[in-house]
Amino acid sequence: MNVKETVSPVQMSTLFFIFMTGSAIINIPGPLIGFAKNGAWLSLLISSAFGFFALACMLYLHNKYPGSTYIDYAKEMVGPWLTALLSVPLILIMCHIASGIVLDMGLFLTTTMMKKTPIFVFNAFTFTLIAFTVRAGIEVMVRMFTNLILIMLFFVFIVLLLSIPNYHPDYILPIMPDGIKPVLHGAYFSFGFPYAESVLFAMLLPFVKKNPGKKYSLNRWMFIALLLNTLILILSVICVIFVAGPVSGDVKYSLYMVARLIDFQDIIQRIESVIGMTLIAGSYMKATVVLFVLNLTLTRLFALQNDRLLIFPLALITLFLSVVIFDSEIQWFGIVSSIWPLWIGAAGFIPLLLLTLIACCKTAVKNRKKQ
Amino acid sequence: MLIRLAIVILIIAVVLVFDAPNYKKSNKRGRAVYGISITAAIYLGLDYAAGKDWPDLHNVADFIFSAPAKMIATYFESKS
Repeated sequence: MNVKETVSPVQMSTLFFIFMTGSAIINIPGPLIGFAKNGAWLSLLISSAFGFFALACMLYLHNKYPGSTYIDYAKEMVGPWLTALLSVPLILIMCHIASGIVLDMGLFLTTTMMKKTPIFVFNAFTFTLIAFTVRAGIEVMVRMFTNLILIMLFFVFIVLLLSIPNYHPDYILPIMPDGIKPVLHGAYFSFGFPYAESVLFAMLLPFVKKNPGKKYSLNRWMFIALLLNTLILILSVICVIFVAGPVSGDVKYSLYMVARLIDFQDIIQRIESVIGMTLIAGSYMKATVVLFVLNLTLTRLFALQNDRLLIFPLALITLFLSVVIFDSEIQWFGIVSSIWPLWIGAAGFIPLLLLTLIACCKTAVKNRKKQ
Repeated sequence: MLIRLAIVILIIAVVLVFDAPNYKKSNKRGRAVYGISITAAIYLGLDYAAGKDWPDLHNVADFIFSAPAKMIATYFESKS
């Protein structure tokens, strides 16, 4: 059996930040503004509250069952058969997330740059890289991704800074011209992507190095990571609204559109390719984490000895899924915007909530018996 | 279709060859889970090669969630 890998609390929170921000920063603003209009930033505040709640549940369970993954403590709490039942929808949503992320990246490349290249080519190369990265292990992933996310954020901030001459702050008003419902619709959408997806980290928290002297350091860093993610997403949404105003919601890759408009002293122009690179890097990192968690889930569920046995078959499954699930833009948008939040809520968020409630009740009963 | 089928067969063959040493070392349970995973991959690969839109993950999700999702979307899109 392989030596158990560990990461520090800061590295785990960095990975969490990468997972939550990686592809969301490019994919979220356009559709979110389409639903919530100028109130999109309010939608993010509402959905991030659910994200914080999910994180609190995961950290509570992690502190209650140190060293155990979601599957391990679920087996302890509800038994192996119910755990297997709860795991099936979780595994299916992980397959969907991994294939959907890479599909989005492939669609971006085939619609904006290489229109005649089959999407399979991009997806195949991406999944090959993802599979080998997962094989390298979580320590390698974290070290590599820390550099990538810093470069990504640097480019995003440069784009937002250079777009200042294009900002019209008056575009943000009025904030809720059609009432609260569009804001709630936006919150429903952003709950599904990215906040509810944070439940996957319940499988990764046991990789954190134990440090008895710093009991709450993981909790603190994870909340800081989620707060930073929320602030960055709100900033990019507001900047997109400042630039494009009412038409922001009609453009899918709105940050790409914002970058296209930059014209600084006739020297810095057409720098949208850096946003393309950012999307690819962010999608790659997030899909790698998802495939890692998927592999870990199946390995723990079936108590397999070799934790690298299933990596390539799972990469194959998600690769082929990424090319067969897409029928049309409208069908894909319908799934992502309407079905996905409900799907991940039912398959990921609610089971986590149930397990947290069971753990709370067990603690309360134990404390009463002691008294 | 033939080109897609050839690509699918090539990719699956490469994965099987690469994983052969690990497969031989694993126990019955590992081999069974590996076999099920590869079967699912083959099914999806043939779906891609045939281009016939066979039942997949989204058909299941659609069947379960599309009606309530539509209700939710309609509620949010209605004027208050």
